[in-house]
Amino acid sequence: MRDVASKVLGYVTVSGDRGLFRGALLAVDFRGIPLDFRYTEPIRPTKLERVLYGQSLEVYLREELILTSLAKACEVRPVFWIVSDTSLLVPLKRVVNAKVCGLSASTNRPLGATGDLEPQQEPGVFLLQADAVSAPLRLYLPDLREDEAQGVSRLLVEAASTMELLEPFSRIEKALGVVEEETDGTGNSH
Amino acid sequence: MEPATRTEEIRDYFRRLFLGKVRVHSLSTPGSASAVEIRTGKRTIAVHRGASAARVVSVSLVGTRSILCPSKTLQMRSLSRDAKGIAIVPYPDEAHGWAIGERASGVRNGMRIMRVLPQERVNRSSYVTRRPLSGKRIFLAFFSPVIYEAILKTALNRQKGTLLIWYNLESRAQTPYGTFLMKKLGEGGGFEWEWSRADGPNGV
Repeated sequence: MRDVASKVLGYVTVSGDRGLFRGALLAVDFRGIPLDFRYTEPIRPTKLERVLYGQSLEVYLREELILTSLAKACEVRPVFWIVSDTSLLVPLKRVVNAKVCGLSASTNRPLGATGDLEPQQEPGVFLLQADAVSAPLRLYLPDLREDEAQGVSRLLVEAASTMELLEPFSRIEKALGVVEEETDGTGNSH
Repeated sequence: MEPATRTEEIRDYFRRLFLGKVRVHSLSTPGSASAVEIRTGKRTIAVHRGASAARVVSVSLVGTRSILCPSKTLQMRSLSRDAKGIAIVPYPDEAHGWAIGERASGVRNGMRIMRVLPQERVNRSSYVTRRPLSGKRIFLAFFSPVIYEAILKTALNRQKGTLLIWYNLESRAQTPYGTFLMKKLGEGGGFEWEWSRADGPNGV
């Protein structure tokens, strides 16, 4: 019997809404059961820092500081990393040195069969029918050969048989919401 | 008076006038910077020869002094008067400093929160091709995949139409199921759940 409990997926989010930067990482097994969850304290650059560093500040905060800190803190080693924000693909791949993909929902009609992978016009973008009872997912796999993309899709199809692939992102949001409620938004307890 | 001397006088005058009025601030000070703490358990062990080269000595030269350790549990006998030791200087195993001019991001472990959050399944009824026989029931929703044997608790979020699932985190169960939500017609009414294996030959 396949052991879905020993395989790990890593989900990473980094947000920079209203000048407040925060990141989170959730590692789950193939049933969606959490194995590790890390989040960064919110970082709000000062006006002076924003003026001094300009556009490079956001890149530094998101890619160098938050992603690197999260990846270092993670105590499990996912076989595969998933992001919803595709701008994180390249920096995350550099940090974790593992396979990384972007995954998001689509409103397309279901493809023929589970496991079908349909290349899109945009390079590195596919529609993946991860299971039989949902719309295909939009899969971003930059810089991967077709056989590698097929390998990734098989992995995701296996995971999708026991969990909902996009669901961990909403759990991360909920968890960060709880953190916000428990703290004053700066990481300090009330 | 020479122009150069005059200029120097003026410069001196202004220097006195503005003395202490111009302050230079650094971007971040130790007070506001993030503390950096480096801990390491790794040490390089340097081996120093503490005694002279081994040689045969006559019995009369073998020392009989003992070094008594504070713990009184270990006694070391010095073998030779020629033995020389070196002072062992303990290196600090922690280094403290301040990250000045750069930011540090504190990462927190949130497993305490994550463990109690349920997983959520959306209604996939529009994709179901094989529905259960209705009889005196109406098919309302279909949720999948759910590891039935690992369930601790489920709850239906009626506002969003989603199923919330709390799993037993220690469970090793891994067989996926789908569950149909049916509404019973007639007297009594109520809801009914119908489970079926999602990976079986009769899977939905």
